[in-house]
Amino acid sequence: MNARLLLVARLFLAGLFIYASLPKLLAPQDFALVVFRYHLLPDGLINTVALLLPWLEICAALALLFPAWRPAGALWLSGLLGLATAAIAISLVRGLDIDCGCFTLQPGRSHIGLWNLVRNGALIALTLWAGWSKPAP
Amino acid sequence: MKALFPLLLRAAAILLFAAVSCAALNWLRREPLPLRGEWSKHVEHRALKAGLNLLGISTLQQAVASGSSRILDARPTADFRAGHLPGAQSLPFELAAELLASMQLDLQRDQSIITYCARNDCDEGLELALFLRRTGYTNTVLYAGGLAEWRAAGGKVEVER
Repeated sequence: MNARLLLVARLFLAGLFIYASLPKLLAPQDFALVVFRYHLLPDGLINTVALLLPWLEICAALALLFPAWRPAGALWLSGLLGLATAAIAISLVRGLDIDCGCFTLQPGRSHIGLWNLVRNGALIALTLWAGWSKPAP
Repeated sequence: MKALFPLLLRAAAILLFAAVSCAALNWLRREPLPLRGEWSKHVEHRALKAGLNLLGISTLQQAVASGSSRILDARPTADFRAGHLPGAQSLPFELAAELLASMQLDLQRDQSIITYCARNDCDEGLELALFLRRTGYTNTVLYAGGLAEWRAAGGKVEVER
């Protein structure tokens, strides 16, 4: 049961992160604008981060499916989620009126809110569990 | 400690693979995204630096639906006639001083005002918002996404006949 649950969780997380990376990969200029609107990074880093982030999501998501690479993939995914959560929390405190850009770049579809923090917290917990747990013998 | 080294090595390998892939794909794009963008000149950067509040699309959608704010289109009148945000009024930036002085536009000083222009790279909306704030309309905010972002979000556009 535990092994099946772990498999489902890993497949779910890998699919979720690959799904999340696709809009960013296809429209890097739009994603760069989303990153810029958080006003957290120096100008010189915005485009580089916008280009690198979706590929990191894909590579780490795929790593989650291979036992030897799983902990490293989970480390990246939970780290990225942690950074995104911190960015959203800071933006909420600063009162920024912006889209999350987490799963879609369509304007107005993903306004930041407390829901994003709760969801990311749950995803971090799931990623750590799926990445480091071993099925009971 | 022994277990940490392979973990960090694999994490570094993932980063390296992602970096190579993103550089290769960006190089293959018809219009590659430059690694360093000119964001300091972006209209939203200038607005924040000037202490102006920015409005997001979700809040704009609520404002349009409720009619709670005056929405001012800073583009030339011909562009306004071709299509504008529902309920918006035309106040081209170049004519703002003249139109306000001649009382052709009934604006209250404490009224909630939203300005916009065509896209996120135009600056008439910003200039109009700054002008209004300078002249005492302190409750002015900028919707920097412009008509293009409004359309992309599926927003309706009114056309003057």
